[in-house]
Amino acid sequence: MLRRVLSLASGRIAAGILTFIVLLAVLGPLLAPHDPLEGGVDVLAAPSGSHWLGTDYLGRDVLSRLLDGSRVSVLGSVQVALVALVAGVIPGILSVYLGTVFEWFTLRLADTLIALPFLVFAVAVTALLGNGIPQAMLTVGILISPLFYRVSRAATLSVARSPYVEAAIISGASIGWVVRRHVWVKVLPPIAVALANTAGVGFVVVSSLTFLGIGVQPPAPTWGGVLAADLGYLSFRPWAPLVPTALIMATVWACNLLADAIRDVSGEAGRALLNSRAVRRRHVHS
Amino acid sequence: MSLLEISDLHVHYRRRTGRLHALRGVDLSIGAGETVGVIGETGSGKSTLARAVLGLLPVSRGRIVIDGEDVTRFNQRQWRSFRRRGVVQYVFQDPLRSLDPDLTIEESLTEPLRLQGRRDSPNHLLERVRLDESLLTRLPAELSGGQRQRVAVARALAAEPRLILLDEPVSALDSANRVRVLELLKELRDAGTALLFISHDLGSVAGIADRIAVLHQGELVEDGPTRQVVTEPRHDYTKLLISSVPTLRKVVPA
Repeated sequence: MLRRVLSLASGRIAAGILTFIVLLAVLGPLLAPHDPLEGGVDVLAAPSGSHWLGTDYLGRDVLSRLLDGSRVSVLGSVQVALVALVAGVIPGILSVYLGTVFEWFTLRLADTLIALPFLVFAVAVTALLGNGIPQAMLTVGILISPLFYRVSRAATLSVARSPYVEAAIISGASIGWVVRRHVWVKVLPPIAVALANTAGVGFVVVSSLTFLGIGVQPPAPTWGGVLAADLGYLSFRPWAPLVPTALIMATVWACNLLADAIRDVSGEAGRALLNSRAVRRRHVHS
Repeated sequence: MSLLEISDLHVHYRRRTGRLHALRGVDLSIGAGETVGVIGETGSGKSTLARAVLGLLPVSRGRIVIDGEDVTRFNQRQWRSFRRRGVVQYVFQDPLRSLDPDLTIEESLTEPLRLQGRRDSPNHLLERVRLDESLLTRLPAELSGGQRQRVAVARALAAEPRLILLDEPVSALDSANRVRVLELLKELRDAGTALLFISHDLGSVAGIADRIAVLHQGELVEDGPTRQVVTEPRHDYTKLLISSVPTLRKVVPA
């Protein structure tokens, strides 16, 4: 699968950007030229030799804050996406197979999660599990999971009654066999697209929770937090939000590009596409 | 002893508007190596009959005995182990959807072999339906309708079944492919595999079936040797069916 994704130009670009982002997350805090929490008298300064991206409203070095915050931002959105994936996809596929009671129960649970006010749920989880980044990510992940539940359920339903699945059942296949062999391939592409979108939403939500004092605590930097701080001082540094925005956008865009590439190479359409490319290449060489 | 023994079979569908009585007391038996045609119009309960025999539908009343085993009240686990013995197989009506579009022909044909715990390759199966081995690496989308239906027959043969249920196996095919698939089914019949051939078209069944049963609104209205059903139909509906097939007298001279 990975090899097929990388055979597409869009797949290579997405992988390149995401590798860069991951490197940033791993090495970022080490590369920061200044202490990201140390303020100074020189507030809201323009870019200079010592502060490449200037300073914020407390005189802290913006570049250092972005580099230092990359780890929490990336880990946060990955956690959100993974929680949503596990909490949504598994019940989504199983809801088709485990009988009407399980189906009814999970459907109503998904409806409830969609209808639940985000703030109330976040505050309740914080009260229950204490304040911290994992708890915040868990909250957001669970609130997004109905998306994955719906997407995987719809994809599973579309193949569950198809003749080839029934042919497998008539030959003695178990539910596990049918899911592994027939259903999974059909569920994967829409899931990949939803996952890419969620990773993007994760960045924004991680920062919005900071306002509430949930998850990342205010002095600690995140990309979203830097963006929020910059937005408050637009009249002094109008260009400043562009930098964290560009980082977030590049990551979200790369995620979406990757999702498109996965969708393009998986399934029937994907094989046809790759075959036609291979045929074209053979024609060019011969 | 009969290979398939259906007695007083009732099947209901639950609909929003109430229950639909799809099969009303059907009695049918198929001996080993026998070919039985089940004729009926759309909605007469032909496919329901096949799906009930395969355990894909719950039975309301009656008994289904396959190869000496009463499968009527089987649970999922019992069905699974029974199905892995490969006594009964099914060929679907629609060759476009009966093969997984994401699996190569080889993968589709290997599936029933692996489910039976066998490790052999599926090459010999393609040979039996007269398809070239080079098709193994293709996807269903790269095959014609007739080729796909023959692959579906090959997949049914993988389990070496003693009974194959064929649900309108030639209805979606053009006449040349129809003849090819029918030839294939005749070979199977001659090799001793019992066939339950479901169709709305008396013409395609009469040439191959030993016996013909006519299903009308969920009831079996006629059941007898092909020649007798065609020449001396007893039920009005059968008479109507025969009069609607003008070329039939040439196929089976009276």
